[in-house]
Amino acid sequence: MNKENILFKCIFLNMCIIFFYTFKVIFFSSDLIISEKHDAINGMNKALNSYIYFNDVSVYALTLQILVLIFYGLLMAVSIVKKNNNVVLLYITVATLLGVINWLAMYFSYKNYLESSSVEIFFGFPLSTNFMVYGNWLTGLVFAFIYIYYFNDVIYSDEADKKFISLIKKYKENNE
Amino acid sequence: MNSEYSQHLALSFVVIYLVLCLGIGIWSYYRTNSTSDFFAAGRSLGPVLIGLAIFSSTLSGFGFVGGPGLVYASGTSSIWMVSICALGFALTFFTIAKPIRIIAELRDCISLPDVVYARYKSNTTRLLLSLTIILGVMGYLATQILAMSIVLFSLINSIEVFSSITLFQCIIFSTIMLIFYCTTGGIIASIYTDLIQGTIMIIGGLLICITAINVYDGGLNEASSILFRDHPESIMPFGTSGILVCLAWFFVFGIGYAGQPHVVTKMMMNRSIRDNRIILPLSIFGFTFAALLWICIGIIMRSTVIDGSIDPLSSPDQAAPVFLNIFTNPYIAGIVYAGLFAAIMSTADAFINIGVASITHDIPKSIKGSPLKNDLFWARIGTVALCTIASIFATYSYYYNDRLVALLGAFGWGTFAAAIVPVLVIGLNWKKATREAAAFAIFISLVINFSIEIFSISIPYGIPGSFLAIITSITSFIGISLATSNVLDEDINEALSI
Repeated sequence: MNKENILFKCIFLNMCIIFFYTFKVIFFSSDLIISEKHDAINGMNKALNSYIYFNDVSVYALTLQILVLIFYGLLMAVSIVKKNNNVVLLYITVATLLGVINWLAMYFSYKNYLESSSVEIFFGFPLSTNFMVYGNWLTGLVFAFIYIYYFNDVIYSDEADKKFISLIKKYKENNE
Repeated sequence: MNSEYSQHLALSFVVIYLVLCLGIGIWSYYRTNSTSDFFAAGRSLGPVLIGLAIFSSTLSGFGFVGGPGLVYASGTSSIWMVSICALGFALTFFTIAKPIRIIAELRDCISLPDVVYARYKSNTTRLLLSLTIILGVMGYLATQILAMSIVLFSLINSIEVFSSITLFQCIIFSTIMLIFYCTTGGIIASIYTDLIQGTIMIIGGLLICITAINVYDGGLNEASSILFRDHPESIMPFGTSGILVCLAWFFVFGIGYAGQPHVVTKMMMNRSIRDNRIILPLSIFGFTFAALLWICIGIIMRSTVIDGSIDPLSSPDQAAPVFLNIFTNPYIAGIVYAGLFAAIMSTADAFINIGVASITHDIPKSIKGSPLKNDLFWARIGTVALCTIASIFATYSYYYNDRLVALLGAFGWGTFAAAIVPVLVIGLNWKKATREAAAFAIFISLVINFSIEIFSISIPYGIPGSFLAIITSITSFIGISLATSNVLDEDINEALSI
């Protein structure tokens, strides 16, 4: 079995877990109300039952986000797997892991806030929100950097350009 | 400076911009000689144009008005939609940018359904995708026309000379502007307006961010502290909407970039595949600067209302206009208002373009095997028809039935993502993907999204229906592909191997 098929089977398995786990959570959900209108100001909302809600769905949420990040990584890996460049595949794996670590840091710092009710605000937000605002963005930036830096190696090389030009030529000749 | 002077100034910038638009429309008319020019800009555009066009058409008027409104209403929840931008763009470029450009040139495709037909050799898939695009375009377009009319109405209504003008008259004016602009210029006009919009959004985002930070002595930290003291969850990572809604948005918006037809189509228009190396960082940084508007305005407006500095807003969508009127230098506000009009017009043009391509090019090709004769003429007639129908929808919805546009609007980001992502992201990278799987994935995504909206199905924990539609369409797409067999044309087989 080649690498491409293995990756697609991983993608399928990943999506199946997300699919069935999501529907299980939906069908066995509680009737918890998680949001309502702000007491004093029209147009604003506030969260309700945060601690109970988090405990209700925390395992699913933790798993879902890890699977989604792996899914993104797998999709990017599958788009370049035919180039057989293990170094870039390794970097995509590392970038995916960074995304997972950022998520775990966000998750546990939020959990810590729920248990202690104290936060420290710096760079404009509480710690766990910083992981969301800056961490999510930086994770994407690592993938973008890999795309730009290894563009000639795995995305579109000189050899690929020659193949493309000859393919166009061949197709046009066949259709004339 | 008094409020009326600021309104005059803002209106002046908008009028200058609208005159510029007419100029761009006329200029583009002389550059549009074929349907390929009208729909795909002749695949001749440079990386800066495409980079700015991709990010600005992704953000549209929603980024200016809806985004800050969401932060005002629900705290940090909606920031998940924009903090995913770098990952979403990277995923789209890794998986789609190259193969779609190769197939577009190889088969001379001018629309997304053309590419899908080339890949799957299936008229059913092309037809289903065209119908999805038309339904989605109608909702998006009606929303854009309504947004343009409401902003115009709110700008001129406080000026005494124009006080007798009604919203209905603004809708008629907006529709006429759009029709002129889109019939003359096609996609070329849209791209050049994207350039203006993109530039304004980048500069505006930066200036607005500086303004927002200076509202409080302690900057954004102080604003966050005010939100925390009022209601802590509003400034924690999942806002007031809750963890599952945020994670669902992360998925829908992250993968959704690759499923937006007006964004993906632009990846077929660049003059060289190598330009993608420049287009990706341009799109990410452009989007990031523009997202500062979304985040900063929303947080400052929520905190200033909570601490009593300003009165509560009549609706969350007033967050950006009120911020511009109160905190921003009137010249900067005028430029940002012009940018808002640019955002609405270029997005409307891009939607009209893909909608008209579906009507005059893709559906006739799916049914009778060829596009309409004299299709450039019919494209322009189609533009008039589509704009008119959308403005009737917008008017009817505003005055009589507010669920109509909401229903079609449900065919927005999530439905496009659910229908298109498996067909493109997986289909262009996996030769075993089959036409049966593609047709089913599009069909099931329409059924799920429509059913949830029509029957007002409420999903536990507020999980968005589009999330369920996407996971269902992707899972079924791969499952059916594994169970069925596929035949690829030789040239497409080679194209997918490059």
